Amino acid sequence: MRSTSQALHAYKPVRKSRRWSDKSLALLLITPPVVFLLLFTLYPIARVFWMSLHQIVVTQPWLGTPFIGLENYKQAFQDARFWNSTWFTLAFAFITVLFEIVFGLFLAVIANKTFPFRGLVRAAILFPWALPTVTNALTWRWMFNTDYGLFNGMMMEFGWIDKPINWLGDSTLAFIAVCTVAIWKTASFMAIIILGGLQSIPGDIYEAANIDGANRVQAFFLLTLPLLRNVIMVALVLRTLHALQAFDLMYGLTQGGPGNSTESLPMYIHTKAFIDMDWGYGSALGIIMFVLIFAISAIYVKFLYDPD
Amino acid sequence: MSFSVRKPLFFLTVVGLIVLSFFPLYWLFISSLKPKNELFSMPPKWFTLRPTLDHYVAAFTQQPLDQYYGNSLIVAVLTLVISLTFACMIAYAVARLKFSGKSAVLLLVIATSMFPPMTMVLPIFVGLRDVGLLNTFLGLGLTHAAFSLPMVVWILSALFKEVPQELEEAALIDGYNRLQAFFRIMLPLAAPAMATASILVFVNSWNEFLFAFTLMSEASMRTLPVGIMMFPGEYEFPWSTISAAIVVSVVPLVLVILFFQKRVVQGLTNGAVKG
Amino acid sequence: MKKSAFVVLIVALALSLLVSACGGGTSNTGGGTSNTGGAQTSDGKSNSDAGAAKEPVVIEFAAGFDPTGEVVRSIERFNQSRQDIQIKYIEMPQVPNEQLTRYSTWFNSKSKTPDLFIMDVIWPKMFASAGWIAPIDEYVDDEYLKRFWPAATEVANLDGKLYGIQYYMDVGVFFYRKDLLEKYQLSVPTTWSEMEKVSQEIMSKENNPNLVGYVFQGAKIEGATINWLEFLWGMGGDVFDADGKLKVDTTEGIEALKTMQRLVHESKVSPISVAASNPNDNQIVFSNGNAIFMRNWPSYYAAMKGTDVDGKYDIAPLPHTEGFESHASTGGWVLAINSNSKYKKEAAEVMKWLLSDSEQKSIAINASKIPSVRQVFSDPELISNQPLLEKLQPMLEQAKSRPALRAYEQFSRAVQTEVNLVLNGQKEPEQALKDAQTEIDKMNE
Repeated sequence: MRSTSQALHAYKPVRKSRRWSDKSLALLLITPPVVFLLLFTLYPIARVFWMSLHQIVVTQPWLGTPFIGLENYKQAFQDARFWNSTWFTLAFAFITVLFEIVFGLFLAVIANKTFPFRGLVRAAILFPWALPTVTNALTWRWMFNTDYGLFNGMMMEFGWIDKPINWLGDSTLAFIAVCTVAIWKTASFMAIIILGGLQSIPGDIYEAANIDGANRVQAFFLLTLPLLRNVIMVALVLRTLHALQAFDLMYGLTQGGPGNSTESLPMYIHTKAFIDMDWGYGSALGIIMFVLIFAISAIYVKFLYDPD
Repeated sequence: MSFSVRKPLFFLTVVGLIVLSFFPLYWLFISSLKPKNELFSMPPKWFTLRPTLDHYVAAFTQQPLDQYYGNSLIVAVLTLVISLTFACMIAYAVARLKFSGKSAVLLLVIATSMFPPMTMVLPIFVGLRDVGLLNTFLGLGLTHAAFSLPMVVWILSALFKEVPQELEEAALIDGYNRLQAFFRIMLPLAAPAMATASILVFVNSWNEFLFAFTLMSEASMRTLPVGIMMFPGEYEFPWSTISAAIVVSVVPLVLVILFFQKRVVQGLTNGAVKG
Repeated sequence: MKKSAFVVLIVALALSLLVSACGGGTSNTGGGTSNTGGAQTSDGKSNSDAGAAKEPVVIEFAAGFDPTGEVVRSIERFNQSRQDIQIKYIEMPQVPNEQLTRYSTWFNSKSKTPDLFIMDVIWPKMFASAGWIAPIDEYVDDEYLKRFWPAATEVANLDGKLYGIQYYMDVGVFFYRKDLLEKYQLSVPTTWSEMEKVSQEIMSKENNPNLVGYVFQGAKIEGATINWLEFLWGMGGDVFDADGKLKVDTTEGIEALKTMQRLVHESKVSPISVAASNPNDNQIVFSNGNAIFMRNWPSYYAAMKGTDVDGKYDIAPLPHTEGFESHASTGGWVLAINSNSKYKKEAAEVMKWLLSDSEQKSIAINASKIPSVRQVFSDPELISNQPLLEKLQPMLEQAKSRPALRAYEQFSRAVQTEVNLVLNGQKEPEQALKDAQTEIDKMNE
């Protein structure tokens, strides 16, 4: 079909003097936002990178801020706590995003159907995501509390358990708790993005498939999913980016405990930069995180993006 | 599966979903109505026989929540407008125009969201201070927009592409210029995508804490999340008042979501993407 | 339909730009550009009418939000009584870590404001090392300092210079259920082993399956470090060895941690949930009637009125180990002056005013704070209004400050992580403190 329009173009007298060429229009359109981004994000990132190459400990100003090259990075790779928080962050991101896509798909498919009170269901699905992360984390902390929390209270009342469960004090349970809250909150984010994609799939495709004899399950896996490929990838990338940067959730729910078992890399960065005032090291950790996220996103894009 | 089994199963699933999504908010809601001494009673109660509005009154008197509301609203709308405008510009160029370096642009855009925002707090703070944009809605709005932009650009790029180019080409042949074609054809058809992006941007801005906290130190300029964090004491955590404040702060979000969700559906039925 | 949405967008854009241009921030006082401190930032304070020849100096005072409103009233009193200096209140969140983030951002960017602020008792050395606070020796003399509790002036006395004085104090106290003790005719325990015995006796005889003996803070927060220190000090130990080096894996240190472990895992008078408890969590359990003893801060005394345990509790000094003395940890907030402030002299005057007898008395009576000025405690009005303060006197005498360290937060984090793990049953005290010491040794490089 493209060739048709190109053909059409070819026959239309081109008023070059009045029409912007693609290139200059693109330049005009792209420059303001890019400049905006450069100022707001690239400049700070450049500064952070610069800081990561120096030793900057605010509470020891007598040391000055000497250039130390990649020393901070070397220190990071030997830092057990850095590795600990990185593995945790990766595990957390991988597990939560996986469940979120599955649940998100499920929710979107349901929300896409026509049934009474559909609006209410859609809104209900979005509620979790509308709660601010910090207060959400604190609410769940309350519900998970061993002594006076909702979950233990109800489970004991129903007789499911006879001793309170130490949700946030056990490393494994705490990890599960953190993932649960994240999945609960963000499956709906996935759902809304996937729903947008679902709604742009024309219904006739399914009619055609139905006529061809495909049942609903086949239609889903062979038609819907492939068509949603780009949308799912967008959701995947966005959500992974987000999960890798999770800070408020762990901070509010477990403070990174027990021990350091639920400490995410952003939490560690925050501690190093804002509490320990070691800006050089904190910046290096930030850069490492950036590289990590970039690598993961690049992998996604390479394998999933269909620029078609 | 026979139809008669499917329907109640479906219904049960939907109800289950609603309960699952809703219960923490409901828990907060009921807690905001309970008198203080019932708050932590065990076993926990899902209802109260003595509801009170005291906590809502306390929430609004201890902190000027109504003012914070207004501030959050202004910042969120500002963020929305800035990010949508800029994102449309990039997304349109990427989806419709021929030029080299498209992937570079997209990569640049998304690279900015791969950086932990907290490391950028100091440079952004200093930068805004030096141009006098601290404690201004514009300053915070620009910051929020900068962080939302990548997400919106990606969503719009992906979905602008799905709108067939022929429709615009037809408009161009009819004599409209590109800008008019954009507003008349592209925008309405991409409405679902815009609505989706709008919800995301609005909610993100509304709930954002770190920069709102750092860039707005004036009490009168505070946004809601920052205002809510004024309630926790050094050791105490007044759940009653905070529950009330949270419930109050979530209501507009719910409204925005409902409003935009309708638009998503209407966009679809009005200017459907016809094969 | 689409057109109207578009119109809405444009209108919104116009409106928000309009509002942000006019209604946005009246001043940049949060950032401290060169026009702060001067009279241009006056908002509401009339300095143009009285025909005063000099414009008043505006001192920006940052302090945590006070729900009782007393700080605001205090500032109003000052502003009405003086023409030459006016105070502008910068309200901060009450949570210390949030404040630290803000202060860190401001002072790292050499902000000139706030001029005066209050900091947590564990920050003076950190802030002083970073060059953020100014010494106040030139504004106070020895006579003046005698008015205060020793801890109030010692906390910011670093390297021979005085960097601040506590605005108000805090101290760890031991809450107990006097009704339960009376019922079983037991006296208030003064040692940890007594407390274990009393707890076990009451727990076995009472019919409440949810009742526990002693609740304290063991979550991965500052509270865990504080509690461990109190056990440590209560057996004559300290974190500094003979050479002044920071050492936690000492015999006493391990013994202190072992005592805490015993409470949870052997005598079981403390529930394992203390390993996830902050002060608020403990208070909830106690006020539900489910704990006999609790270590917490005095502010909860008033906060628990109206709960199930109203009238049934009282406070006493913390228990200690036999043969030693009880030492609780101090708390509270310290007044300090921003070293980049343009008006240090005026800020010092405001500081002294906040530390005057009348102001200290009023924050005690109206905001239930513990004054740093000793002589105020003997004021009859105070005694009748806040009887708790009399009970606190002996504890204030014996209270110890936490170690003044440049990198206190790092030290505390090392300790609290390990204490948390031991209480959770995931580590043994010897190994825990050894690991903590490894972390702490890294600090000195």
